[in-house]
Amino acid sequence: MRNLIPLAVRALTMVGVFFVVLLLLVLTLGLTGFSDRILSSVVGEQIRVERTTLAETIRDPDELERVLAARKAELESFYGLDIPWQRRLPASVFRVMRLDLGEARSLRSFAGSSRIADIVLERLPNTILLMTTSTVIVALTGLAGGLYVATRPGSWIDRLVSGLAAVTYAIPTWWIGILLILVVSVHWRLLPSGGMYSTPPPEGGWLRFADLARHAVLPVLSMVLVSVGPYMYAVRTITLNIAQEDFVGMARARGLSETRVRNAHILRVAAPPIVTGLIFGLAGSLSGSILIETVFNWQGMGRLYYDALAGTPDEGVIVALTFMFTLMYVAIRLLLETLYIFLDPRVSYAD
Amino acid sequence: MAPVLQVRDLYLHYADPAGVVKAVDGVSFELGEPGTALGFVGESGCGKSSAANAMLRILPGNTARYEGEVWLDDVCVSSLDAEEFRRTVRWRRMALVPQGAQNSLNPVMRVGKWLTEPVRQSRSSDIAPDVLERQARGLLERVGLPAGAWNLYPHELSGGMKQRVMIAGALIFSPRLLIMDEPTSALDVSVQAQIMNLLKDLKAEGLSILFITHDIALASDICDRLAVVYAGQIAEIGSSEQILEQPAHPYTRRLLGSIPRLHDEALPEFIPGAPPDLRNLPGGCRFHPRCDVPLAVCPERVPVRLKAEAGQDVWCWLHDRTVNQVALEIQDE
Amino acid sequence: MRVRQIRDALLKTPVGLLGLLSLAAQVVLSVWVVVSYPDDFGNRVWSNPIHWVDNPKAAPPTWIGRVDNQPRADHWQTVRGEPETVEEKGRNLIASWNIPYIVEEGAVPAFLALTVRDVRFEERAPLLALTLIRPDETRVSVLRHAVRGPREGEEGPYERHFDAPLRIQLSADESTLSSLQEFLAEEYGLQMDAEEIRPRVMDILFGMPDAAGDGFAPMSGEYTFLFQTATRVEGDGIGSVELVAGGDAFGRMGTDSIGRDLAQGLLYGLPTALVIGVVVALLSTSIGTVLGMASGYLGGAADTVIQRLSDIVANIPVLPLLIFLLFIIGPNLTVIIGILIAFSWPGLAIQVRVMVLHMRSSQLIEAVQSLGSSRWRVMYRHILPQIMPYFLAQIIFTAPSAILAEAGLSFLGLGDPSIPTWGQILEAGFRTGGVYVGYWWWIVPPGLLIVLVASTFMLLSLAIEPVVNPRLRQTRRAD
Ligand SMILES: Nc1ncnc2c1ncn2[C@@H]1O[C@H](COP(=O)(O)OP(=O)(O)O)[C@@H](O)[C@H]1O
Ligand code: SF4
Ligand SMILES: [Mg+2]
Repeated sequence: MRNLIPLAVRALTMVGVFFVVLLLLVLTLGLTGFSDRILSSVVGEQIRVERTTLAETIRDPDELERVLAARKAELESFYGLDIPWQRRLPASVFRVMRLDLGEARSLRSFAGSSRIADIVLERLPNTILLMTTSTVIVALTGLAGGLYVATRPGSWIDRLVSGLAAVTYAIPTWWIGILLILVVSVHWRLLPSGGMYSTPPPEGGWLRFADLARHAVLPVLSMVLVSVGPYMYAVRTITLNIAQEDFVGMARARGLSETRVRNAHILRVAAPPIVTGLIFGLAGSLSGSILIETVFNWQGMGRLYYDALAGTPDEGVIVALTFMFTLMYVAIRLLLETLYIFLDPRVSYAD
Repeated sequence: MAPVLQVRDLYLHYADPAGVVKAVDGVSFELGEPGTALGFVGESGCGKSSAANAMLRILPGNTARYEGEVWLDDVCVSSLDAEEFRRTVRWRRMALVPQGAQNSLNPVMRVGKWLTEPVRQSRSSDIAPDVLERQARGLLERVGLPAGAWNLYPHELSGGMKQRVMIAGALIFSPRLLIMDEPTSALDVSVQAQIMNLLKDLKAEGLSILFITHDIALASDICDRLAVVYAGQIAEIGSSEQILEQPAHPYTRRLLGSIPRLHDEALPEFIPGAPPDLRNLPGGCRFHPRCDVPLAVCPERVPVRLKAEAGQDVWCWLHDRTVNQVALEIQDE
Repeated sequence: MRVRQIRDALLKTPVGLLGLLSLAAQVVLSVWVVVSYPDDFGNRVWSNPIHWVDNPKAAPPTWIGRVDNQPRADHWQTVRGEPETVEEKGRNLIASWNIPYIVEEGAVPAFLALTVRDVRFEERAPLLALTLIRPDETRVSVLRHAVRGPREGEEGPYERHFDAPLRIQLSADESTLSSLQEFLAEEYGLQMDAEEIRPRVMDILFGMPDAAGDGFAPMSGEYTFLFQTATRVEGDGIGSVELVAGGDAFGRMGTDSIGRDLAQGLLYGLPTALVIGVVVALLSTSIGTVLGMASGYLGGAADTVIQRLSDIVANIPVLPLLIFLLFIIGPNLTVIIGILIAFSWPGLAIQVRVMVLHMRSSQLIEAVQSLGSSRWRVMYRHILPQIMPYFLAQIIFTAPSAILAEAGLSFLGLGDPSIPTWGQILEAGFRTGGVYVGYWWWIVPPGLLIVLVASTFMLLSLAIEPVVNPRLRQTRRAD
């Protein structure tokens, strides 16, 4: 129970983030007239559909046009196109939240649909696949590596990790990805340079999976390379600091075994700040994944940004993507915050 | 009957970029019968905590020299190997409530769990969980904590409560000897008095206590005997009355003079000179640069253990009957 | 912590000194670039394909030859004005230019282009001809071209190619193909059709059929381009003629797929990167400091509002929103900088507020206040100086992330096209597929430069880290 109050405070911030972003989206759309354009395209699409069905029953072309014009006016007032955008604001918010943003101009879903919701949502699993794989790898190697290095402070490997962490802040993730393509795919011809499956994709579950895994190696590797350094360094520093705390010495003085000291007194106490480290890294890995998907033509939401920006820009898709990424971020944050609060009994007082 | 604790020639030196820190440098003493308390007093930084750690073999990574014998009830525990020492002696027969007990509790562990952890983890004890819990709850009550403390986290405890939890924790195996390192230094006066009363009660029940403090007045309140420590060595050891009434070492006199007293017009004396740097100690008697009655021999020869009185030993040339003889020898050289 | 400590950390540690020296060098170079580059370099030069037509496309840097020891033709370009000889031949005046060209070690040029400027004539349009005289004395007629004659309703004297020069890519010109066809038949008895010749124009021009008979072996030696114009009256003629023999390598940094000299773009990126880093860092830390001070000092509703706002802005996933806003507002460097500032201030605002709250309760401040100093004076005189070091540190921390953020946005295609940046160069290399064909000189240097500038700031922050974060200074014991 006690934990729920700080959790609520944090949740409120994240809800705030969510609505601020949403409002920013809708306001910008309204102010720049994008909102009108999106709605007009929705209406236009509907009229096009109705025209084909009506044409079967109404033979007289003039009559058809008249009916359609009336229908169009009806739809326009239904969508609020006849009132100023400010008054449509709440409706627009819901529209964005339901991804009800009409049709894309040039982008199509894999199955050929041009509905923005279809296009964006079918990419969500691919993004989640890439992000979770690399995050799990980063978390595990960062944890293991950081703990190992913490047992050897000042050694060459410790300095290497500190150096790597510092360098990481100065290297763009996506450039690492491009370099990997240049060296591993183009020069050595070891791994595919992009995409998720070979063309044509191999038949059979296992072969298909192996093909996917082969395509995932480089994108995952680049994401791991750029986040593992800081994470390892954070784990190292946190554990080193905790290992110096009095209660750890006390655990030894109480005759506990080294294993017990490490697990129950160092690692257990290090868990909450390590989760905090994950929280801090989250926004970074989100942007990292947008750019890495772009570099490796990984068919996720990040790559969709690039596709929507190139050629004829698909503003509806961009709005939907920005919303989806914010939603995803807020959801993961809430998950991590909950984890944190249940790991650390102190937060209820600290807040 | 053999004394509860005997320490012989204990050394603990640390390696430091600026030289070797001789924190414990040949310390020998004994703590006699069960149910008595020995006080370890001295300025801060003189090596008291280091001595306690050395007895429990809690050694930092930069330990440069560690030797000496520690006997508990006629068993030489310092000859055990590290693992055996951990499993049979540390916390079981000799428990330490360290300095800074405020931070010695695991912040994410509830009191009850923390208290019983060493027993649960111990391979040799096969005590049933509910029996253990009953005993541990009894201990909490014994040190004066409410039953509700069992389920609390350290940050929900006051300083005094934490200190009580620490004491309860130290008693979980019913050890022979309890080492208390500055048990009251972070507490306010009323809490301090409560803790002292608790310790006196425990002592009356037969627990032996090594009481470490920089506050000689506080030590004399509970201790039967006092050891005055200066620069990693014992300067003088004797019964509390002897030390307070007829201090034999000039340093002890200074220490007593620096205590502010109620109803006393005289301002407390300040001990002149800088506290010694354990990396760079003066030759001969370590106290000689600050001593107000030094002899010619003092800077040259390390004082030996001398008898000031029955039961009171002192390391100071003033108490050597042949001191003039020695002084003449030095002049001859 | 004092400003002086920071200064010492920068001036007296090797890391700090290295960072400062590197930064100083970059600033000097940037100033030189800003002074010596033409105004509007981005639009008029960099993004203008005409400016780069004569450069070889996607050519590696010249120094690569010293690494792999392969023969590569140097890029060669020459402009001539007055003709060397003018002689009368029948009713025509023939002006001639002899332009020597040397092929070494069989390094045949990548392409051949002729540019003629400022053609002027009274009645009849001049005829232009280019002949290649080869080391074995054989002659190849490369081009015959008639300048466009008078148009209907046009009055003489006529001017042609004053604004847009006449540029003929000889390696792809149809008339060159047919004259090569003739040449091969006459000289070597080879029958080849135009499509066979087209991909090998340069090999044929600068070589002879090899022993095997299925290719052309390059012929090294001295060549001469003989360029001639035939005009009717004195005064008719051309302003200048230019010949370009495209190299297989170009300049210090090579070229991209439209022939842009990467060295120029890369240099231009330096001041841009520094400006982005410094401006974003300076302004966002200033905003953060002011808001943090106001929040901590004013308390009450202002405090609540500022803190909630900082909390929310600090927790927004920035990149998606940046993409959206830039897309809507349009790719403009000022907008990019503005948006980056808008999202970078909250960290410091939260930190400064805590410090101000801490200081406000200190005895000194209380004493000064009780003496009647105004709030703002206390802030300015007593609180600001204590915050200064954190302000400086934050500037150093923020700059590299702003540079990286701009690079990332540019890479997504949201860069300001009027101001080339390293991110944009990389984006072009990626979008046009330069990566997949291994144009490393297009991909590696811009990234390295981003890393170089960002790590300069990282060096500075490493140097001041122990001052800002003293806990890290303690030597740790391995227990
Ligand atoms: N691990 C260590 N390395 C180096 N010096 C130490 C270490 N631990 C303690 N010291 C030094 O040893 C001296 C004695 O310390 P300590 O035993 O804590 O004294 P006390 O408990 O009497 O105040 C002090 O000067 C202290 O700085
Ligand atoms: S030995 Fe000498 S210097 Fe040391 S305390 Fe005694 S009199 Fe003073
Ligand atoms: Mg101590």
